[in-house]
Amino acid sequence: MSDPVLEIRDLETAFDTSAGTVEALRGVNLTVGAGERVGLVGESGSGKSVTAQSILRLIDSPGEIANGSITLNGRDLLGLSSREMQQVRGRDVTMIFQDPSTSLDPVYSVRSQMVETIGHNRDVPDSEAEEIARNYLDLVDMPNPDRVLDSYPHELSGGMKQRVSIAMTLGFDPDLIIADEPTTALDVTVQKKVMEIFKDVISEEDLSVLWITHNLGVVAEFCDKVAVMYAGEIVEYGSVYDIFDRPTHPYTRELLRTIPNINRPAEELRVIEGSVPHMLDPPSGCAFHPRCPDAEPECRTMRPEQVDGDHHEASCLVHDATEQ
Amino acid sequence: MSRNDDSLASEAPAQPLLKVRGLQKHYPIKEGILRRQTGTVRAVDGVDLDVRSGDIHAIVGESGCGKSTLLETLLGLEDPTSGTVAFEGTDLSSLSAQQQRQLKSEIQIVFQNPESSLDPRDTIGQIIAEPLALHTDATNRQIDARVVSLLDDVGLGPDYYGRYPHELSGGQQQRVAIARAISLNPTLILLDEPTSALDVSVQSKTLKLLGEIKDEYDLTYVMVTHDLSVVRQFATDVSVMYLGNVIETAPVEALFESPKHPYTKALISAVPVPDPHYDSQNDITLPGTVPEPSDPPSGCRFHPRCPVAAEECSEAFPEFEAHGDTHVRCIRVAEAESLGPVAQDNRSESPSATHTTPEDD
Amino acid sequence: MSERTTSIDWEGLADEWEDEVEQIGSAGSRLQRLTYFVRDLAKHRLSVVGAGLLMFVAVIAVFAPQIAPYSPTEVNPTAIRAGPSVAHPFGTDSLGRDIFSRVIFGSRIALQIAVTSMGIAFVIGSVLGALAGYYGGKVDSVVQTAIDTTWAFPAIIMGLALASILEPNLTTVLAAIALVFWGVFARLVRGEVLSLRELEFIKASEAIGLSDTKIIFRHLIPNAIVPAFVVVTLQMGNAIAVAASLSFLGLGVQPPTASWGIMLSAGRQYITTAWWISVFPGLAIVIVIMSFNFLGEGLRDTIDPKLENNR
Repeated sequence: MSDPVLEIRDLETAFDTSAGTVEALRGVNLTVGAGERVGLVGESGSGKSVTAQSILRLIDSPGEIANGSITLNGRDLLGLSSREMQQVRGRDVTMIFQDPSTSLDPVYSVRSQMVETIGHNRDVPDSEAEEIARNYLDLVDMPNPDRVLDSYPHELSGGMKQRVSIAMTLGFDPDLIIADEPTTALDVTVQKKVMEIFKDVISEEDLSVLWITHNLGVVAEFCDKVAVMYAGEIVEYGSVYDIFDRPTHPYTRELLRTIPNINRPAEELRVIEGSVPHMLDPPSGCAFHPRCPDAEPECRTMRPEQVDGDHHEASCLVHDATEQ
Repeated sequence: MSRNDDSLASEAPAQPLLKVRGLQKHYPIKEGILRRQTGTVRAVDGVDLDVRSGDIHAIVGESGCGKSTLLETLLGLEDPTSGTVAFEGTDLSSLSAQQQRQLKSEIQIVFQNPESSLDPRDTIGQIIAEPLALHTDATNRQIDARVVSLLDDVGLGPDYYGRYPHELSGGQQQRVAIARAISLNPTLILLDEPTSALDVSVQSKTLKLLGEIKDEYDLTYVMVTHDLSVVRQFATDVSVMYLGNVIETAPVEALFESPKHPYTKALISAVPVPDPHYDSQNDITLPGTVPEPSDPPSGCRFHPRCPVAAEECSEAFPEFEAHGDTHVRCIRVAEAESLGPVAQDNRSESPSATHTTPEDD
Repeated sequence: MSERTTSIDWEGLADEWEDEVEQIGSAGSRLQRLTYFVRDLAKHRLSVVGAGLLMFVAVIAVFAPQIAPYSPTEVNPTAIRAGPSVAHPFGTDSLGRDIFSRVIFGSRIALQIAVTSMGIAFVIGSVLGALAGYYGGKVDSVVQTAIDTTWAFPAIIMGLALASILEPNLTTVLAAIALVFWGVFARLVRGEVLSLRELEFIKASEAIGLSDTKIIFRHLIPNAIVPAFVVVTLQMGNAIAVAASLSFLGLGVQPPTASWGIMLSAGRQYITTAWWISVFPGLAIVIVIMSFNFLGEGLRDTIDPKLENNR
């Protein structure tokens, strides 16, 4: 097994607010190998976006990375100076956002933005950057690349903007792409197209992707590994087959039961009792215990061990992934 | 099955609660210094709809199909450009302003974004009480009692009365919006993407609540959504919209087990399936993008992107044809039959089947 | 009203839920919110200083007759331009009047001007801005044109223009300042209304059947004027400065009434020989303006994050 592209160990990120300390991440372990497509699944407050921001070191006061290590291709990201980290962002690891308008400046044409950013991140002259831009626009199946290059962001539809975002990100030639809900705001037919394109390009370029989403359908179609997050921890990690066929953690199981499957006729709507805890005051012991149908007395006091994030494992005192 | 009157319902013994015929809502495009009209956005361009009492009628479609505009027109927030909307047999445009105001107590709405649908400066109690204070002569004490009872109906305690919207979670805010919508004991509730802005596990909770409220209050729902899996789970009937028209309408199982229109098939196959074993080989991927509502293609609006389009498709706008309980605007239904995955064949054993635990709710 | 609505059993509900209705105390929460707000504001040291000073000045203004040792208009030919002493802590002016007392009484004029003129500007501006934002179209065009017209006038010119038409007294100064500043609020509120208008709670109000007027005054304006509060406070200082300048030019309050501006002006020629005539009123002006600014900044920082805070 080749060296992992991304390795996160014991990551703890907290925010010091006027109301108290919000423990957004409480000890996260995760490994992303070369060419792997890892899905980070969770609901609001689970910590999935904070994980992405921590990797890119975009956490600003009052937040801070309190503990742990993040290694990218063997390089310790947390030990870098902010200038060095700036180089890393864009060259080695890049991010695609839910709202493509975040990464596209409305006052510049697509051409000037792509050329400038690709040229800067890959250290190549403008002409070469434009070639690269055009190549990747072709790769993402953009109907009229030259016309798109001449356009301004507001002239493009949501799906096209997201494709430009992807092309631009790929143009940086990173080792790892972090995509934070990149297709959530898109129509379902557009989402399908974007996902297909993304899949093709990733496999061609042998890139690693960390795909953050709350949509389990997208995860099943796109990812090969899955990390399920709840209350600032990864509660289960495994291959996509492990997670869907042999879900171990009660939260994973419950979550799978609440989501409707379009290929199945209507069933009784299943619900997870209770609500997601606020990270200002997470429950004692296992964070899921107040809502867990299988909770035992010890779950209230003992915190289960964190998963290693590299093989099928659940962070649970009652259930074990080797059961099945 | 033939249609005896112009009803779109398969069995039509009683008059539909809501009957929409030929509804159009156009917006002029004005450009230049003199604001001259250069074109028209045909947001809703001829919609027919039948909603029976007790139905949960879902309207699905993607951006630009006009579903939100349709909802606003049904609610009376927008005046239609042409066409009729009949509620309980009465044509809405024939009503006086006074009568239209009274109609607010019969047709209500729940919006997509729970946070922005509640006035941040009002308490929950004030928000729910507002329609009651406006439309009834009840005393403050009586209104408060009703508010507390409504809060209970949506699963919130009386202590929520004095709280502010920002103190509540998205799911709770949506409950407040629902409580407000049912406060006047309406007949019909329009739901505009009621769960899209909510977390996955909260979505199912909210839908469950909507189901319970519907039974308890004897309501009818018209629900606009883009989430087809929710539709299959929750709705009784479905209308699929594309570029301002309803292109297929059917009872829910008929739509999913045997969709007729190529666009419907593409839409269904585009929904990601939460099952890694699912083979997406037969899925339909549509070329191109949705055209501008101000410049729709000739004939069948879908023909430029349709995998089985023929020449005739660009010439005439197709009328509704009945295929069993389904009504579809398409002349190429037979050719479309072979498109896409067949629903039954790809239904594999999902985890929920193999991991049912003994306790049920 | 539909049959189903009339069928609501009000009395039955009132009986069934009697206990719960007793429990709810909606007034409590509003008070609580205010307490949190004041507490947050208090964390801003500068704004506490500003608020404190302003309260101090307000007290002085209210109790001026009791506090001031002399009448502000009392002339004393034996103590003309006398320097600061025990009898006259701020010295006397060219007519032997006690400057200390005049500064004290001047605070009344200053606060009156600031609060009244800004108050008028705020109210007129907010209402017009809200109407412009809500209705758009012709109403918007008219209001915008009005804003643009008055915007271009510096306060001094406005004051001079009005003074030539009307009497050069306090009311004229107030009108001039209000006319100059209403546009600021109108623009601000209009912008807020434009963005609020798209929010669903406005559509929800329409859906419930509220009339336009009720929507504007019950829902839009209370939300839209929040940022304007900050601006009002920050602009108060401006109002005083403008009034002082106008006084300086001879407009506004006429002698013998004591206004800081007049006093500043009167002491101009004696700045080297009897500096106290200008300096003390000048200091007073500076202190009040700064206090308003401190308070305003504190408000701005408190109001904004509060909207995002979960409390």
